[in-house]
Amino acid sequence: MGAITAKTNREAQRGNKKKAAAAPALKVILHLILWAVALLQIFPLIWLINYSFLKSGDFFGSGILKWPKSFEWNNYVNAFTYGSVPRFLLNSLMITTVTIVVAAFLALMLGYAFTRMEWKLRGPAMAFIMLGMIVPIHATLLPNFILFDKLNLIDNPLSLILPYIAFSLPISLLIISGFLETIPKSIEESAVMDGCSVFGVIFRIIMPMTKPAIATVCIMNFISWWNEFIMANTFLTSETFKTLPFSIMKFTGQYSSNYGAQFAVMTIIALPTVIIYLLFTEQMSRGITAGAVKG
Amino acid sequence: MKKMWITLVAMLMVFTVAACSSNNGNNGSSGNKGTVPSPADEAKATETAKEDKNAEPVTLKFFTALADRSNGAGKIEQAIIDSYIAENPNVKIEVEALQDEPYKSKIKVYASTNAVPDIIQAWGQTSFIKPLIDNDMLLELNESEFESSNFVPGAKDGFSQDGKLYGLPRGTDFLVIYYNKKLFDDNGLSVPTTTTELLEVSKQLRAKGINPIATNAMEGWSLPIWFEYAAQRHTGDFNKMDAVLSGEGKFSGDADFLAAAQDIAALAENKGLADGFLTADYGMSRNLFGQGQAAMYVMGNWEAGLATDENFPEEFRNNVGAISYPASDKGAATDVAAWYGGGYSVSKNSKHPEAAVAFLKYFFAPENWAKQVWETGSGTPAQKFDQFLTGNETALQKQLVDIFSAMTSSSGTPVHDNGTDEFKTIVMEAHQKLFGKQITPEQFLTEMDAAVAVLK
Repeated sequence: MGAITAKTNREAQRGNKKKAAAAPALKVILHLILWAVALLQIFPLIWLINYSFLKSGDFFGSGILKWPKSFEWNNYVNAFTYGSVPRFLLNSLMITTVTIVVAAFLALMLGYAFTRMEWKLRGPAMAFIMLGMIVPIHATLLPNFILFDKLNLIDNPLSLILPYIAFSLPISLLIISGFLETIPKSIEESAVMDGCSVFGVIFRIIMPMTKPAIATVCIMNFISWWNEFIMANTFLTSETFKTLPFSIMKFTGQYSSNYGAQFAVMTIIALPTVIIYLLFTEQMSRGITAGAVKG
Repeated sequence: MKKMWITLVAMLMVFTVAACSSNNGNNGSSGNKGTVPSPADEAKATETAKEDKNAEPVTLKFFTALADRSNGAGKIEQAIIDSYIAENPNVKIEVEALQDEPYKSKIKVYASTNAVPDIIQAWGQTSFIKPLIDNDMLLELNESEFESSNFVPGAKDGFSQDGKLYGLPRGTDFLVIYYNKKLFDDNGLSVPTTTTELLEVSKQLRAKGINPIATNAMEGWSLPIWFEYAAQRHTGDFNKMDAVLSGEGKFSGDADFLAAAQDIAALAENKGLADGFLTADYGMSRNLFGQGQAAMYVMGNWEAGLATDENFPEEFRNNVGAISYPASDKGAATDVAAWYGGGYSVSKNSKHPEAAVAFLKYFFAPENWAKQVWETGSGTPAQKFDQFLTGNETALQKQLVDIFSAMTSSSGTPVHDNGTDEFKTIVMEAHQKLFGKQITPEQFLTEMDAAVAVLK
């Protein structure tokens, strides 16, 4: 212990000279601040789980967190039975998976076409897709409803998947093309020299190299569509294809609500998001920063 | 690399195929769990098939704002639909249930695409039903067909325009004050019977560290109804407010309205409203009262279930009571802010208007909606229900019936529901500011006049 402090002291002295290493006190303060921030960030999750075990009548009492007198596992039972969580979960899973896979695929192809290929109207075409970013979802609800109604697509998963993909494209394209810019062209040139076709270049050379960007795009799209409600609410009518947010609605009465069950459903909805975040944070930050720094 | 590419394509194909096939599945079946006929129903189908030989299969779309189908009114609505399907196997009713706000925004989408479902929930309030009637979207109903339903006099007024009936009311709503008897007894206080006492009691409760009155001011709709009470207790007439709305006179400069606004301001000044009431939504205010942290709760009669809600401690359930808004020298406790809220209308574009009307007739048969909603304590029907009083009602239910049957005058549609969405927002915000002490009573009346100006 003494040796370590001596060492750190020495290091601190050296740090003073170099003005680089932080003093131990400062380090502790920094750690405390970071811990406080971390706790603040995690708190809503703890709160969510805590509330999912309470009786509806216990909510909004004096305390912020409340230790349940008896754990209300019944909330979860309700969520699974009456709330149709398994079915809605499967629907959500299917719809978001198709969306993110197709969106990533299209964004990659488009990104390649816009950054590597020379063609007329390339600039305007890219600008046109990017324009999609300024279109608010609400403005598309009515025209889409009329369109889907004519196409007989109301109450069909496609009525969600298509607009989801469309809304994912601009930002996905932005990230992927930004990433593609950082990949030296010489790699592809040598591939072509070895007899690789255009699709070969995209799927054998580019795709493996853009994995971080693709992962970023997938996660971002997952997060935006996993809980989507406005479009789902407008385009779906029957129980068959409803997505997870509808489970919460099932516990909302005209005047009073079953809060316990709602929180249980919300916990279940939040879980996949948290897990995916934990698994892919590294790739995500790599994907976003890769385009920013010229390597 | 190749492997990854293949998996990707394979996944894509699987999902598109899954999406398409499940789509086909949807076209084939009814798609709604609640409407799939059970084996028992099918057995019955063969029985009744003999009776009506030419009963063609009919599918009705039923769009309701009772999202929770396992509790209260939503449960009864679903039960009646289920039994109707059982009795009429040729009829299929596809239920779509959304909560109030999503419901109201989706009905706009439906209306603008001329695809309004066959039977929709409607509110007998200008803000909701007038645009639908004006755009010729609702079917005119024949009043004589529903005579046996025994609707309470005046209940259908909100659903009528130019003497034509466009909908039927489901329930009677009125605003009362719930109170926690134990909190009053423990502190040696008596339940207020006059508006002066209400203020006095609030002060005393506050002095003992108890929240006097809880209400859901965040949502804003309970406050204008509350103010209607306050105003009536000064003017002695609910109609005076409606007269101002239709352009006769003004809010500002009227001594009675000013006195009413001052009453509310005095209540707010003395912290008569529960802590944080401006950010309290429905559930929060209800729980505050149910957990014994507030002595009174200003809310509608539909909360009769407070006395039986297992989510709250037994001590509370045994001590909850209801009174009408305290009286004054001009307004009596029997003058009640009552209105007829939700109900049903039939779409004019419906392919099966007769079937829809037939269902509504069944729905409003006295032994169905009126009886069941009363017996489960989920509300007060808009139909006569005396014959269903069993004597086993909770004390709270009895008190509510007493208030209802003693009623000598009623307010009708709440002020904020008498106009457009914009009007509603201005009115509710003005009330929130008055109750929250952000504006003076005089400023409040000016804002109300500004709201009325929007209507013209």
